[in-house]
Amino acid sequence: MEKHFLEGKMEGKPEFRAEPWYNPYGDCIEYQVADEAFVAERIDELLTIYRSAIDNRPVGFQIKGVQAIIRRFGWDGLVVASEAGAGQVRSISIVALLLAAYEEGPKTLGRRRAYAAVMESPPKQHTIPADELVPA
Amino acid sequence: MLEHPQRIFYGVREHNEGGWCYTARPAEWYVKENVVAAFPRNMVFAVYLNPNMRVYLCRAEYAAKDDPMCPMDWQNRYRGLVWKSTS
Repeated sequence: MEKHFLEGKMEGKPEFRAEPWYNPYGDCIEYQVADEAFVAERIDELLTIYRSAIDNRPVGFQIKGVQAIIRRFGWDGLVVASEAGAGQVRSISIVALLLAAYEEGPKTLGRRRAYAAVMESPPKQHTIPADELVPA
Repeated sequence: MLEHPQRIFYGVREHNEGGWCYTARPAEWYVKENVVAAFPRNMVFAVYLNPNMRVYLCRAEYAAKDDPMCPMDWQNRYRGLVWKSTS
């Protein structure tokens, strides 16, 4: 098998996880359901949909400007609380973030369709712990 | 990509000052594990760096009609085109 050009520079075994995660270097939430090449379809300043490069189906999305959304809407409208072990964990709802992002832009048909498409197939893990949302 | 970009854009986010986008068109790319295909003609590959010059994103995007080395709608998405390869 051909060696990947970054093999000597990476540590650990490559692993694909179909879970949303916060990218602290880009202040964005990334979510990809399939481990395959995709093309980014920019919907607006805050949402980008990932479409499979093989068959064009939606395979993920990116929510940008997470800190700006939190500043604009506050934690109260975005956070869900859940019990975990002995304490309570504050997590941010991805669907609430998407709704907030939608409210930021013009109410066009194209945007409405794109946001609806993303929300029709939300990730199984639909929250991210608030303490992970720290930009680098 | 970063050593041989075709275009470099400045100012990639409305809510974050600065940032850079480097673009080019590779001849091939991996579409699935161990599956290599020709890079589509209507796409361009973009690598994004934050203001600290840290790579945070790389992906294919649809290419602009007026310049196939630029992402679609580049005139409105970035603050400016700061470098263009002549080779």
